[in-house]
Amino acid sequence: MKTPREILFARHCSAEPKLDALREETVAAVCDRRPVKTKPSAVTDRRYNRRISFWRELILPRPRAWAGLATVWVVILALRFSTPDQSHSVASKSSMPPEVIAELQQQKHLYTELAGIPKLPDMKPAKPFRPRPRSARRSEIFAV
Amino acid sequence: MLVVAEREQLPVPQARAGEPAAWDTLFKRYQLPLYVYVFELVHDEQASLDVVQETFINAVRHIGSLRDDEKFGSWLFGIAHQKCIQRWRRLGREINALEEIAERPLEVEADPRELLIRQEREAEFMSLLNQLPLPQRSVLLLHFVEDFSLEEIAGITGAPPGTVKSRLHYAKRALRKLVEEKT
Repeated sequence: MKTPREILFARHCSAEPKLDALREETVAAVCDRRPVKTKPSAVTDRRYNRRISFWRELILPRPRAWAGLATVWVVILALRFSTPDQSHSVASKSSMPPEVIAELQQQKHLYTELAGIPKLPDMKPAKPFRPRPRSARRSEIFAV
Repeated sequence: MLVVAEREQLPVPQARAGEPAAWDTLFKRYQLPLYVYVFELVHDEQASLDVVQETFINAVRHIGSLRDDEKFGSWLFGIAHQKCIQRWRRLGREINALEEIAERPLEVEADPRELLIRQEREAEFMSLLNQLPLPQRSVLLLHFVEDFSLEEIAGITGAPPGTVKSRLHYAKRALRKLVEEKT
């Protein structure tokens, strides 16, 4: 024969280890004024588990394939950073060969002659803009 | 001869002073009764553990609001009870419907703790307890688990003492029916 209290306590005594852990964590955290990590609620838990299971379903069936893909990306990135940057030298080179430029200039002369336009002085190609220090710019202005 | 139950000596003043060992002692004393009470109301292990932890945290934070150190137990159960209500409200559970219990004149009855239940009837006892309406179950659990007085239960649940008495009466009557059936 047992009292209701004894029945209730016997029914839940298996929760004691969890309660001990919870108590120790709470006392340590609260008395040290640390933020206490409360366990996520059942709803949050379910959402979290759903997200985790999605990623597991995606990755776990082909772990080798994902590892191979990751390795390929690492190699690509390593190669990209190990080779010197050639974009400036490529850009500085003219995109047209000199024969084509000469041909174009000849056609331009011919057009001005036919149209009767006085011959324009040969225009030098515009220099690419290169920012200089302010002091250098000032000396250039004084020289003019 | 009048026998007065000796009051437990709990380290509440030390806990007020922020001693971790005192808090540990207090929580160790109440962790299982609190868990039993909360579990038998919400019937969810994780939710019950969450409520117990939240109760502990709130107790440390709001110990300044406890006026009488001797009422630490009922004060702690009051926090847990409020946490349960908050949880039900979040879940959209209807509580008011369970509050309607008519108050009638009550006869003096034996202490429900004096109920003795045979081992083979334990499951039946738990089943009946779970069938009780929530307010009756809450009152009866507080009576069984910590032997709180009517005034203390009223303080915990926020119900008037008359209502608590009424709920206890109906809960006891339902349990007595079971005891009579078994004998």
